[in-house]
Amino acid sequence: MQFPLSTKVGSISIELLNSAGAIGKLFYQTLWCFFTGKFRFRVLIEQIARIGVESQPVVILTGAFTGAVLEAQSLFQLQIVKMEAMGGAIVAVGMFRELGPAITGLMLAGRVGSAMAAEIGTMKVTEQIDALRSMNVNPIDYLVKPRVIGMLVSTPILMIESVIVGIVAAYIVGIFAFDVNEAYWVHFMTQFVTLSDIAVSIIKAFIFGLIIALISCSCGLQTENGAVGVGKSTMRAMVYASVILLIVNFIMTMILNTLFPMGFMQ
Amino acid sequence: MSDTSNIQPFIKVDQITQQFGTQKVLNGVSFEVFPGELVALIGGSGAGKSVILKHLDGLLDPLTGHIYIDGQEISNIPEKKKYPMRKKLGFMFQQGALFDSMTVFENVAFPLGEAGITDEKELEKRVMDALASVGLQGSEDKMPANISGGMIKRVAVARAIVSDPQCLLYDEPTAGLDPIVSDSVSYLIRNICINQGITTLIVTHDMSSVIHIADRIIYLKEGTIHWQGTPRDMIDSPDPMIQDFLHGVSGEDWNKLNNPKLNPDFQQNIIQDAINDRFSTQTSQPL
Ligand SMILES: Nc1ncnc2c1ncn2[C@@H]1O[C@H](COP(=O)(O)OP(=O)(O)O)[C@@H](O)[C@H]1O
Ligand SMILES: [Mg+2]
Repeated sequence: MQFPLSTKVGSISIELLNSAGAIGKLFYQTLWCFFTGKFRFRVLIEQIARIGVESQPVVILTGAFTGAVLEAQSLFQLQIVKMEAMGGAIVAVGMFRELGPAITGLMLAGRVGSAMAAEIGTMKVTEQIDALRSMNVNPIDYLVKPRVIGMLVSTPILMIESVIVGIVAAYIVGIFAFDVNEAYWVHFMTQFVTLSDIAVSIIKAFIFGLIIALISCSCGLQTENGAVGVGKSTMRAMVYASVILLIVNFIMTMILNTLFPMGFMQ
Repeated sequence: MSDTSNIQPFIKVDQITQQFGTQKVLNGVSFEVFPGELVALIGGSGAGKSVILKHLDGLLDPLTGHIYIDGQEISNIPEKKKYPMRKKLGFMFQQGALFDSMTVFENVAFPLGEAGITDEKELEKRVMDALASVGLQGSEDKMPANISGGMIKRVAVARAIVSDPQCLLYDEPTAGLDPIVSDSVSYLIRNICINQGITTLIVTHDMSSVIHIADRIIYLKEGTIHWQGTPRDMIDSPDPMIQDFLHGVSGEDWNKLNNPKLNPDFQQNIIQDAINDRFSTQTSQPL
């Protein structure tokens, strides 16, 4: 007898475990390269520029509209209980703790992660990775390490930008569209945002950046079978990175809320 | 090969086997390449020629058997221990494998920079010399995406020779090129071998090129070395498989231009021309 569904679940689980193993191994190898590898300033700067600078527009736009919609939706509810002035606090804390990191992470998984997987995957199928090795260059040191550092540097900055732009958008929506009292709005917003929220935000951004870089590079390095394989790796990198990011986000929210409690709980 | 019996081979392959999944690709391959020789490794498509080259450079490790480069084993040792052997080898990949984010100049300069040469003047001189020796002066600022297939192969040759290796490994240097460019690449390889005394192993199924330039031919079939000898031996060989391969009857994937099924007379002529070219002055015997 056959159990198609269970077989399928089984093979997906095996694939996921294999991928997890590959990603873990790549993490270890990259860490090793931090100590034994070569420092290539130009390659690193190029990665930071590509990830950090070129991702600005998408991160700013998504941050702004997330802040705006969150403010509007909160105000629809808060109006009922006449607490409109709390809109800024809700948006700011929500953006710092949850939406800023998650939205930035998802955008980077789509924009940067897929590009990394496609580039490294193409290098793999066109033997450029073999060419690196034939010139005694460690591909992990040359390709993966600068991308990981680039993501670690860029993600927190992009995320903070997205949060700030989101709060500004919320301010505009609240003050101009809903005519909320500006002084109260700003007062509650600054009262409720604590250093804990910012810490949570930045810790999440680091972890998300690391996850995206490692998953994308790992998918890229495992590419096989020409152009079709590159397409597959790119898709895989984006899906894996997004899904794992959301799962890790949940776990981190639970852990970080005990380490860095929300302002009003203190 | 009696005169080479007391010379140490530069490349020594000893009974290597390799398998991908259940597919056995190499079944105990052994051969040697001596210093200064130009050896052609031939065989049908999918025979495992590229796989052998990757083993020689330590990019793949054989399941069993050993590979020695200049007397030192390169198989099944840690990556970093392979570095000294790889420094003696230059590798030209089948599709060129140029880095597409870099210009021609940067591609050729790359191995030098990675080897720790930081002096701008020296770097530039060596890159320009390498580009000049493959006839590519003036193209140094072009991107790989904007140059022709023949130029890509020549840039790849320049990148392979720029760090002064003792031995060059070429993977199908003439595949996919038109006959004229293909001939120029073949002669370039021959000239580099003779002028710079570089031991050369070329993987190909371009028989006209092999007859023209090789000192010795190794024929790979079904995962083992089926035959080896000089081009002269090959032409005279009574082995029907060798004759088939030489005259293209079963050479599976000649590029379209050379496809014997499309144009059998043309194919015969190329080989016959090559044989005449090389041997008409050395022999009075009709071929
Ligand atoms: N990394 C690999 N994984 C699985 N199979 C491979 C790999 N490299 C080569 N092969 C298989 O080994 C065989 C020989 O390949 P190759 O050496 O590229 O042939 P060729 O003689 O045309 O250069 C082919 O059937 C190919 O599919
Ligand atoms: Mg091949």
